[in-house]
Amino acid sequence: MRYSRTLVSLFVLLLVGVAQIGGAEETRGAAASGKIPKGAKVYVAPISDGFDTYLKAALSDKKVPVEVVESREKADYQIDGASDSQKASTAKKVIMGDWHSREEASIRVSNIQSGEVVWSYSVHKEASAHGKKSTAEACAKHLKDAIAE
Amino acid sequence: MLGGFENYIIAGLRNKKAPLTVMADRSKAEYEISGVSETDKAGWAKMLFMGSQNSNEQASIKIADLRSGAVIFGYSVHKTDSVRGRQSAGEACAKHIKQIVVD
Repeated sequence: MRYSRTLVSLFVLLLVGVAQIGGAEETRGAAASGKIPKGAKVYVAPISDGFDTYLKAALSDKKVPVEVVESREKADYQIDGASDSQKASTAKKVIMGDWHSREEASIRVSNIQSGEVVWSYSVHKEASAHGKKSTAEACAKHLKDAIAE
Repeated sequence: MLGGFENYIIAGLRNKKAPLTVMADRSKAEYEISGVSETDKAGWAKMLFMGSQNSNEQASIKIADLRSGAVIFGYSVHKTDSVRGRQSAGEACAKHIKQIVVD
């Protein structure tokens, strides 16, 4: 297969599992510059295993300068993601001597108005000391860094 | 994609600094990434005999031109003993996507 090498900008979409963004969105004050402004209104969409709840708690805990809203209509940005948690099996406890769970999560922040994914992050913790809380706080910490940049 | 693997690819694209703009809205995109992924977590035998608790990961993606419908890129990855689980597989996909994009 010969790849197209003349592309200057490649716009991509991840089809399956991507939340549907409404066609007619109201004009909002958020900048569509690809950066997340401080004080932006963020809606955290439901994530598997209730990870969105941990994420909301972490955003508050890490003092991320965004305003979390409960309604998508009131938000400028939306956080979607996936999370997977595996509790330590008996084999892991006995053979590896490890009681901690294996956690992984990945989130993305998209501008609701433009549909552009402006930031994303994934984390993997083989032996998470505080389970999902640790991965959620890692996401929040890096999001805070992205906003402060 | 199964298990939200698309999020790991998006994060990988950012991490590998692929010069792309990812859109969540299909109607605003020019190309589309789709694929499948599978995770095989370490069982007791692997822990006991191999001393490893890392999972095996495999994923396969393709990029299609939405206008012409042509598949312009395809890639599959298999990681035995993936240290970072799906993150590793997502970053491998992103790294190879980056290679076909020209500034």
